[in-house]
Amino acid sequence: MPKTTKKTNKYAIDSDFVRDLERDITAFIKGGVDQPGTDERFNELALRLFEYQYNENTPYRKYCQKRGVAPGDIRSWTEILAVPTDAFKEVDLCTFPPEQAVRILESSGTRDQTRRSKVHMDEMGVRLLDLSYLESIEGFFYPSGEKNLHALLLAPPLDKLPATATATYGIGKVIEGHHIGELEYFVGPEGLDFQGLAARLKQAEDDGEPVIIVGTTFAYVHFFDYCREKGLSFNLPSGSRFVDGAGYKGKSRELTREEFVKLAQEVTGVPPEYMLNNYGMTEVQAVFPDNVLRNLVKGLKEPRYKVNPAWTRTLVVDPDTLEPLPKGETGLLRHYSLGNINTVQAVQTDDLGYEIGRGFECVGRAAGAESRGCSVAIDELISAQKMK
Amino acid sequence: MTETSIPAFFLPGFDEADIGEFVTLEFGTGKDRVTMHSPVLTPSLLSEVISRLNQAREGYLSHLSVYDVIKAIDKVMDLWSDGNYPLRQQAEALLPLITGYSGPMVTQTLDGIISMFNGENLRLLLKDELGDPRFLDQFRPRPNSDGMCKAYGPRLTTTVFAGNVPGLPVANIVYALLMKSAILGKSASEEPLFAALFAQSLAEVDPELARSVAMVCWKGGDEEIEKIAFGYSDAVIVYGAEHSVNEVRKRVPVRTRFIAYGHKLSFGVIGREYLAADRVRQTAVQAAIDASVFDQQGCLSPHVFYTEEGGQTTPKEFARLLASEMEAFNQKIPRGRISPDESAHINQLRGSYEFREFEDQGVALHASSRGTDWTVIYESDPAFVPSCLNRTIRIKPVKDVSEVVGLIEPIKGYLQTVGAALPQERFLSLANKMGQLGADRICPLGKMTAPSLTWHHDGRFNILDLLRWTDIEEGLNIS
Repeated sequence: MPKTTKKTNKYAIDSDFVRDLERDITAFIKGGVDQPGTDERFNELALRLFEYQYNENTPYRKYCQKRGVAPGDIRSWTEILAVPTDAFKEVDLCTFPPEQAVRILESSGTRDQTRRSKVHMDEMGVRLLDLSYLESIEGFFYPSGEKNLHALLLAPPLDKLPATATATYGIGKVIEGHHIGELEYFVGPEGLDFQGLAARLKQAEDDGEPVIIVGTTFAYVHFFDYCREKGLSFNLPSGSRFVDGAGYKGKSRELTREEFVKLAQEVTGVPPEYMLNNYGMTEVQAVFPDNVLRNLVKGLKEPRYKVNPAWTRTLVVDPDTLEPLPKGETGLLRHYSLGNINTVQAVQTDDLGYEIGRGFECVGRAAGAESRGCSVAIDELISAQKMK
Repeated sequence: MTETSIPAFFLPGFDEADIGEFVTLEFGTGKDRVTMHSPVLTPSLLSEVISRLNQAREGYLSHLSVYDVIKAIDKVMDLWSDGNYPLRQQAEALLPLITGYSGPMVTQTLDGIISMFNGENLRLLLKDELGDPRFLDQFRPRPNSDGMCKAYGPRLTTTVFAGNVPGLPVANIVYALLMKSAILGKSASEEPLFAALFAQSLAEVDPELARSVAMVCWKGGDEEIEKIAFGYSDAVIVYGAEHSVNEVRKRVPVRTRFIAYGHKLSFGVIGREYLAADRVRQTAVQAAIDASVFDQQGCLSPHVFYTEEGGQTTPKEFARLLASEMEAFNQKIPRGRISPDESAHINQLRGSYEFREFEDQGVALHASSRGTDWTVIYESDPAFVPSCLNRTIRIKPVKDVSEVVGLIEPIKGYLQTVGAALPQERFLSLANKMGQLGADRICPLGKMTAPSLTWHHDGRFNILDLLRWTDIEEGLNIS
């Protein structure tokens, strides 16, 4: 409790407001990914979170003030102002002094290594991040509570990756508590160890012990292409599954999800329902895995898409005006997550996608594409400058 | 072929049976959809096209005088200057749907082309480059030395067009015909209409002349097709990004004249004299024109305006004034439709500058109130940054315009136009430094996107570069 006579900040980290908010969001997330009929509860929590972030996140407050949006003026979470992902590269969007962060997550800087999104978290932020990830991971990757998988990672050893990379954190979380034995890595200094991985899959085929493979989408494509070229195919034990994320980033040929699933099944024998794409980003403290395995277990017939867990929402907006689009139309994805307690809960991405079922599907990345003009494309210029 | 499908090609004298198969091209969506069709260009069809082009050139074009050609082109421009001319009406109706440019932008572009390629300007261009245009028709005395000479254009010129600015192909078609060269155009897949329409109106004016022009499409990099097209050409001209230019270059025979118009960067400099209270508004109007025309897609369009400190208006205030002129221009000539990628890019850029502005006095963002129509960014960091275009412009302060020389050094290989609002005595010294860095055009602010026909495009002659000369030396009896 504050000892000074100074007027206490209603939104201080140890205030009733914030304590209650964390308690209520925590309880809501613990309710699990499916919570039909909780729209009102979500709305109420989102508005309370907006009040907190408006008051404690200075740049965000200025952003809202410039647009004349303040807590009390709005009644729906859809009116909460979203911050573009690129803004996370410019300023600390943080409800507390960033130097007090206990965890920092950073994006990979796909387009520009010198500009990465950064998210600072305090103890409360870490608790909600972990919980938000955990509930989605349990719900979508292990809907039957499996704990008997060998974990094969198409990544360098996690302790060799930057500790602050969101990918490092995410991979760690996906396998935590669900694997047996040591983690097995298949990326070394020379890149992906095709032979080693192929031998390991053969072993799994022989010993009948299921595996979970986690890696970037493009790493899988390289491996599958290698297997096709060598005429290799496997029949992995039942329960084996793949988790892929991060997309292609121009590092392999690009497949549609249908092509990816078909190729993966041909090479490994794993059924499509066990191929789980994960969508997520540094700026949003939530993950959005494919619904297919969860649907299989629950006997639901639905197309493959990303479900919004109960504590998140996704709007699809017009890329030019940023106004919401009618359901089904393709536009830019804007995510809302109650897990984003330390930053801003509404994040405007440059991912293209559409709304479907109780979630969305992402169809690609918008910005970063070449402009149609006859001026030097940005990337071309950057590479030209580096050469000089 | 449905009735509503529009030809995306021009092959005079070919009927559907000669052509065989067509591909369908679609532009726009819903009721704004335009369907076009174009021949599937097989090696045998292309060979036939080239053979007929050569026949037409031999049999007709090569016998015309350069003034006959000018007259024909002048007549074409006359046709287009009539708002009721059916092909112009078709262009005005369809180009907005195909290119995304707004209707007023298309109209202004067409008017610009018509006034640029009139007979008088063409005579000026030839005079400027050749001295005496009749060198293209006959042996003529050399002006400064003994003997006579005659200029020969390529027999066939193949030109690979880009789609960023409609109307661009007119220049190459006109130049080729002036040189008595047949022209095989590879239409830009983004905009295959205008070149075909222009050729059609040429056929209305002089059907025999139009037989020396063909506009077709093929997939860039088709080795079999390009081997034929480039192999039969005396000259190959390519517009495009560096990597695609390099791809084409590999397939052009060594002895064939190859000219590439690659990506270029342009910018403006604004001196303190032009920021005086009584003239700053006009300066802002001119800067807004430069940053808005062709939605900034042209290689002549500015990325940055370097603006001098110490005048009656600070560069930061100038950014605000420019913003209101960008809005005014947009009211008159709206920004066109852009792709979701381009919109997303601008919105993200705005987001990052808006948040920087909260913490940094050296940044100010001005943006159209709805959508991404225009964006003006003031940024005190003077480093050159390429714009993401579509009317997104940066104002960067300099203490003195001479500082600009150092700032653009990193992009010297790509420099093109410098728009200048400076008193003459100040820009002359700057001009030389810009020239040394590779800039090929220094023009008044407000005229950046409207070069003169006699402009040395990318620093080269437009016609002279493609000509070959035969000399007759003194002492031969020529009677």
